[in-house]
Amino acid sequence: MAPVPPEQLAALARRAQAGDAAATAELLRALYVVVRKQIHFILGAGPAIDDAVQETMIALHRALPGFRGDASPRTWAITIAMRTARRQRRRDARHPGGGEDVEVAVFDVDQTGAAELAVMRRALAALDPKKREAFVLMGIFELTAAEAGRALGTFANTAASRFRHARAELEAYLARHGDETLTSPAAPRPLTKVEP
Amino acid sequence: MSAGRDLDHLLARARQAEVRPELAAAAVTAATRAAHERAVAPRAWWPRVAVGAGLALALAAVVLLAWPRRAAPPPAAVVAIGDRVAIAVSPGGRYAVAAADGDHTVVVVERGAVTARLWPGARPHRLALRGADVEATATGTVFTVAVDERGATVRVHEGTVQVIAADGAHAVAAGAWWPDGRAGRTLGSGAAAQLRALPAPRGFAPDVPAPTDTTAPTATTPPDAVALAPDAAAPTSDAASAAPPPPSTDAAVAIDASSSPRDPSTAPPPIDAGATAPSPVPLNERWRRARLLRAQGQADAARTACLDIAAAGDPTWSPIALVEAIRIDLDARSAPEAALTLADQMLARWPAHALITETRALRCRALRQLGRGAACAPP
Repeated sequence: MAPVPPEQLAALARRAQAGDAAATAELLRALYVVVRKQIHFILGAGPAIDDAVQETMIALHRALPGFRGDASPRTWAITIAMRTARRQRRRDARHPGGGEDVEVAVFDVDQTGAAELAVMRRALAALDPKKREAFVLMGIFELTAAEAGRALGTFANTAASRFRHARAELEAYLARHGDETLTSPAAPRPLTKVEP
Repeated sequence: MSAGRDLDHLLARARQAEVRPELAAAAVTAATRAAHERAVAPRAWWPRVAVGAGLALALAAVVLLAWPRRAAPPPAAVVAIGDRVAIAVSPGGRYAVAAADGDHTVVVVERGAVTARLWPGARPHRLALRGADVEATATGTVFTVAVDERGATVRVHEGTVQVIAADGAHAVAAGAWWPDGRAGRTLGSGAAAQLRALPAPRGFAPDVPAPTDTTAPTATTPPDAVALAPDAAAPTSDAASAAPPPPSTDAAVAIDASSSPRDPSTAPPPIDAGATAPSPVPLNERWRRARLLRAQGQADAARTACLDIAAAGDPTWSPIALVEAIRIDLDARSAPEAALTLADQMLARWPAHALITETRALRCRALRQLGRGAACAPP
């Protein structure tokens, strides 16, 4: 499902707040794409992921009347999904690795794309959760440091710092396990910490 | 490919990855439904609480309605006596109408509770309820006298009753009972309500003098009631009926000190000594009256009452009353000559009586007081 442009998301949000049921459904579908990918890379795979996604969607539905439009609907949804993911992580810290079939089930990708997404997921799972969150928000969803800081509940500089550290550690991980990560579905191994 | 270039490649892949649209549709549908259910759920607690409370109340009502109840006591038997008096007798109670005329009504309560109502009128009428140790005289009130093994209990429903006992006079107001501590709180309540609901008896006219020939109960008597068929035509000289009512009360209750469990040493209030005249009251009641008079310090009246009983010639009560008169002469009146005369009468009339030994002893005491102790010899 292709991402909806930010302007169209804002318009859908206004119509949904005005009581347009169709706009609400369309907005939630667009935001689902965002939060599903976000939670996939933050929490990994497993049944707890589905619970976190559904909980996030319910939270979005209920919070929609209170959406003020200060941020884009996408950023707003990412912020809510981040809180839900953290709660879910506190409840269930297990993040099973799994193979590419997880990505095939979630994303509309071919086998190669699924394998690469699986490598990314496993590499992220090896990161510290705070760095992982920062990398997902700023690397994958391309939020600014300020937006990521608000979503993470921290300063923009802190979010940016975490992103830099996460990127360095991921590069080191891929340098050590480049070929292996592309072929093995095994669970991720801890990364070697890279000093900034 | 370097690690940095690998990461950028993977990042690009992750950015471009699109979630399957069918997942989005299903997730939105489920989330919308779940959001509605959760939104409704918080408002649903009070109907459940209300339904629960209603069920609890209904259950309590069913339990209360289905709970076995004590059968309501049967209503008291109501009897009209004369034109202005009605009594209600408790089930199993026994009573007797000792006197009933235009001026006074006397009912003897032998067992159980009798609640009496006297309709007031222009002409004075005294209503007396007597029990084992109680005599109540009313001038216009509703009250109950109950007799059991512990003695008598008086409950006043209307007006005020003065209870005269050996320990003094007690004014019992409406709603109160005497003596304190007995279970008189509900005594006669049902019967009093019955009597209050009654219209005035036929022929009752407050301004017209009541007929004088009301010798018996005019209404149905309970099966277990015993009417003593008093000779109401004879002029009554009963002490209670002749005594003027206390000014602040509607009724008076006199307690026989001989049978009362209370302290007889307390100074009793005086009662009318008019009880000396012949009375249609049964001898046992007259004997109680005589003992009461003596206990109250009315020596002369008590002696006269005893002599009246002695003059009746009753083989049971007359010798007892005569000996009691001798005791009164010696102890209370300090009249040894009179005691000597009575002792001689006793020895002459009932020489084989069980009290004859005591009579001789009393006679000797009289002789010694007269200085003729030497004459004290067995006849």
